[in-house]
Amino acid sequence: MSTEGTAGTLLDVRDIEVRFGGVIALDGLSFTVARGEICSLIGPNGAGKTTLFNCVSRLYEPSSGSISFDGHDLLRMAPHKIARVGVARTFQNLALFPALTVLENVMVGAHTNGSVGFARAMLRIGVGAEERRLRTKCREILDRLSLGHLADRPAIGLPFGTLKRLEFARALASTPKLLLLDEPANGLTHGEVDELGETIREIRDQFDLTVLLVEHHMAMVMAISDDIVVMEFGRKIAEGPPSQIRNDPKVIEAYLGAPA
Amino acid sequence: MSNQVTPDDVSGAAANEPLPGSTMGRAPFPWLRAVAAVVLLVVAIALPYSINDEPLNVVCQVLYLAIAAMGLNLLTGFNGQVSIGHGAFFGVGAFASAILVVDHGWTFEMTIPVAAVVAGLVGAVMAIPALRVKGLYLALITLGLAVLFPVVTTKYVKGSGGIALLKPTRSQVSSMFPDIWSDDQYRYFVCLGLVVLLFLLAYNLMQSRVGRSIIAVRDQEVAASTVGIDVARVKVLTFAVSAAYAGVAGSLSVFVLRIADATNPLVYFQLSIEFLIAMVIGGSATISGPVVGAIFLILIRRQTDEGTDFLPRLLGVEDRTEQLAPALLGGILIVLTYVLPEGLVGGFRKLKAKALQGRTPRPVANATTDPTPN
Repeated sequence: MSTEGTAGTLLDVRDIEVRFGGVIALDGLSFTVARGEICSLIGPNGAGKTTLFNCVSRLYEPSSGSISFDGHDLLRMAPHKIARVGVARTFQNLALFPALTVLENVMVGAHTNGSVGFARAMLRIGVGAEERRLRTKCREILDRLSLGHLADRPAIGLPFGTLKRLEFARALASTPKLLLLDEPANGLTHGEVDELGETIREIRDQFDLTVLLVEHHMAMVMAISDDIVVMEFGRKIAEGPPSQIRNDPKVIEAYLGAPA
Repeated sequence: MSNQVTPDDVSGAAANEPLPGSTMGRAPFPWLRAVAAVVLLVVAIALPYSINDEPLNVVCQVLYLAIAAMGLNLLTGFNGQVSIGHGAFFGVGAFASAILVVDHGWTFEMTIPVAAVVAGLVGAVMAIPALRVKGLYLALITLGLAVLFPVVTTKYVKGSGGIALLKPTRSQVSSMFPDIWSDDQYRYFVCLGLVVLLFLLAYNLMQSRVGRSIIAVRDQEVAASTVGIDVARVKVLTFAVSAAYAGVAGSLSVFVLRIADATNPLVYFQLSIEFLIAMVIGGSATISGPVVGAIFLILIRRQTDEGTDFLPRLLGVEDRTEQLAPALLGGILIVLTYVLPEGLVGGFRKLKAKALQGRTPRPVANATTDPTPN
């Protein structure tokens, strides 16, 4: 199912348009993400970054355009099928399962790695083996993100930064090919941000991932991105490696409001 | 999620309490549970030898109420779909069994799985409109079902005035142990066996990938969908399983009460509320809560029904027992929900967590020194 040969492109977003009533949130946005790279989406608030995430994870329906991922036409898939082809994401404002423990949250993330349904669950056919397998896998991920000691704690009541990492862990649990991170550095201290940037790079290498990142924390974006897409008012205004984006007059204008 | 909390909360006692729905990482004394289970089982088996007839029938009512409440709990407690119409599924099961026994000459035991399947199918159909609405609106739709059910039933079920009144004779029941047990003892053991079976099935369900996805759909539907959970499928199947539980309960009610009656249009609505009460006072989103709640509900109802002679005397009124009984029941429910908002089982767990905290070092003491304080 993987189409390795297609110029190394994993995600191909083409002419996406999203309207909310009369407001155009995305106005013909196109860009590609190459396999294995860390690509960042930056731009002022309201530029449409999260809207694009929501299109890729099928929460919003674009009025036109196409999104293809690893040979699949994403816009023709049901929202819950996206995880199965290899797309995982985190949420800007956390969307964890508060009643479940930290480990259980990650195990829900590994949903697509299991196969037990209602009948088998009730009769306990093959449940033990599956639970052991998922638990081992998810504990490894938790340990990798230094959350192992919290495994049996309920998610509710943990600090914000920890919960952010838990979302990261949950997303990793589905063994994704593409990881969408929505403002992972939001609410973290400076030291934590540096650490997070390093973690993202390491995890990309270790798990053979492609990362699409929405982030306001410019130092981190510049440090870890291979490619940056700059957005404003639902349009792409620039695209390129950090060195180029840093000096792009249009980007400076959009960010600083100063005439170029 | 709205719990963006400060690190101070972590060191608080609240963080160590098991939460409704979490099915892992508790039971610090596994042997205590085993002992409790054995004691319960011995009591349950000895019970029909010490009481019989009317009291034993009441125990049977507790048992099928427990089954219905367990089913409702899967849907409302764990999956977050509020139903105040489970009486309708109970009725579907009751009438399925009654019709098969009376009109088709089935033995009663054979009708139980049929009642479960029919009620489950009706539940699955009901789940489809339920996919579009939530909370109060869903509650209203299910309420409509409970009110509609007796009306439809009395219109289409044949029999004098639309009532399927049954007096199953011994021949309609294929007792496997006709000589060891009397009728009422046999009925009790069938009910008990099914409670145990359905309890284990529900327990297994919640201890699996499916159980986690049921809770995930309740807590965060969008996130559940993005990790690959087919939200609609989980909701429909949970609804079906839940309705099947109510169907089994209804079927057993025919077995115990020997009647399937839909002449009073409010009966099934009332039943729905009873399931809800049993679930809530026992502890929703706990597996054993509904069973405890069912025992408690029937117990306090009987106490308030029969043992309230002293109250009228105390208040200086004569013969007001009938009016006072429901008032007393209501009062107890209010106090109970106020004192134990998480139900009897939830309250017990809280108490246990507190007791353990005093006795043993904190099991996750290092959690307070989390590397990323916010």
